[in-house]
Amino acid sequence: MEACRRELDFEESCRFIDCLDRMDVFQVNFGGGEPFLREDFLDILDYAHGKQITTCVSTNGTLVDEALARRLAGMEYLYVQVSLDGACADTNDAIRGKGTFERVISGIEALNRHGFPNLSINTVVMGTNFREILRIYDLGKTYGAKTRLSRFRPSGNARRVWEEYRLDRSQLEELSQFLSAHRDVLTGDSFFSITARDRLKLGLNMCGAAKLTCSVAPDGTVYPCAFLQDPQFRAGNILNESLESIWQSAGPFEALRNVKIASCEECGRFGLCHGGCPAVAYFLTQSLDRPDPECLAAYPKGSQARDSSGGARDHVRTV
Amino acid sequence: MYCLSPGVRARKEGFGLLFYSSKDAKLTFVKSEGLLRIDSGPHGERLLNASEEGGSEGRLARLLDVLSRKGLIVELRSDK
Repeated sequence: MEACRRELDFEESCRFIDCLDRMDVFQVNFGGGEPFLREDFLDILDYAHGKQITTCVSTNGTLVDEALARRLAGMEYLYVQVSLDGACADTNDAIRGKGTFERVISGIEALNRHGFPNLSINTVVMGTNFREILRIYDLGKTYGAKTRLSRFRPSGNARRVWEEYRLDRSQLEELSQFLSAHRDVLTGDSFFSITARDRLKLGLNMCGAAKLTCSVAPDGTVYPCAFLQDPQFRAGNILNESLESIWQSAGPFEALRNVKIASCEECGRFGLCHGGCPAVAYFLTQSLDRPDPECLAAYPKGSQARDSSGGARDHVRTV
Repeated sequence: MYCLSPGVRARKEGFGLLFYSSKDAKLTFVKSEGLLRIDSGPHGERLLNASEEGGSEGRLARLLDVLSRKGLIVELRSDK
């Protein structure tokens, strides 16, 4: 993933939101970097809300002071996800920087004081914080925030530290059990192969990339998914071409839509996950049409092996 | 006549209609089988009308009832 050389300016952002409105896009998620660093960011949110487009901001939470919390609390169509990668300062700050935990909690408390309703705590589950997910969940409840758990995935900078932070099979199994036991926990992995059958109706049962969602970088480059931003997935740029046209005909989008994971189709869990996350498969096997290597049905049971291909090499399984 | 409830958006998809509620950010997939279409009303409101393709009135009524019970659409009452 490369750093963007420029960002869409305010007028370009508004024109893009106009385009999203014409396409009947329901929701736009803003991530970063840190979105609140951008001076006109609240104006961009207001513009989207004026079109009744719901927004969801993923923030590190450290810039949320009283004034910002008050302003956010007045926005009807806004969801905020605050990143927290540990239930205590030691664990969180080892990932997100010294002093972050305290500042995040301070931001969450400010949002609480101003009655912000749509708050969730976003945790990427890694080997280092795995033992704290229940405490993170409890912490969220204290603040009336939902918990959102996602697997650590090997895209972008995470590729460098994948082996160090990834979950092993027993941890993935425990995470799956935790998600089953806590139905109110949200997860971006609701359609993935680690998801238990009883969560099927809580989310999509397949990857939505290029089917329901796409990702637009700050410079306007369009990708099928925020986790698939290697050059071969560049589908176009909204400054040169309409998103509608890119959505309808770009090669990388067609490729994602046509992914067929033949080795999964006979699996009893196929209806649950449709093969899982193509991005994880891509980064670990260099192929989009391989099963999600972290599929619990494919991972040899009892194995704690940290084989980076997971079970993808031999994906014949029974459940 | 029905329109989308406040905070609800919808669009046509290959399988039928896709609804989104901003109150809980949830999607509802509706296999509407061509029974309904979404039009813009005179004041920008989004109206649900029976499609010209037609279909069983009973099925259409059941579909509208389900969508209404889910809070995705509301009946417009004309002033007398």
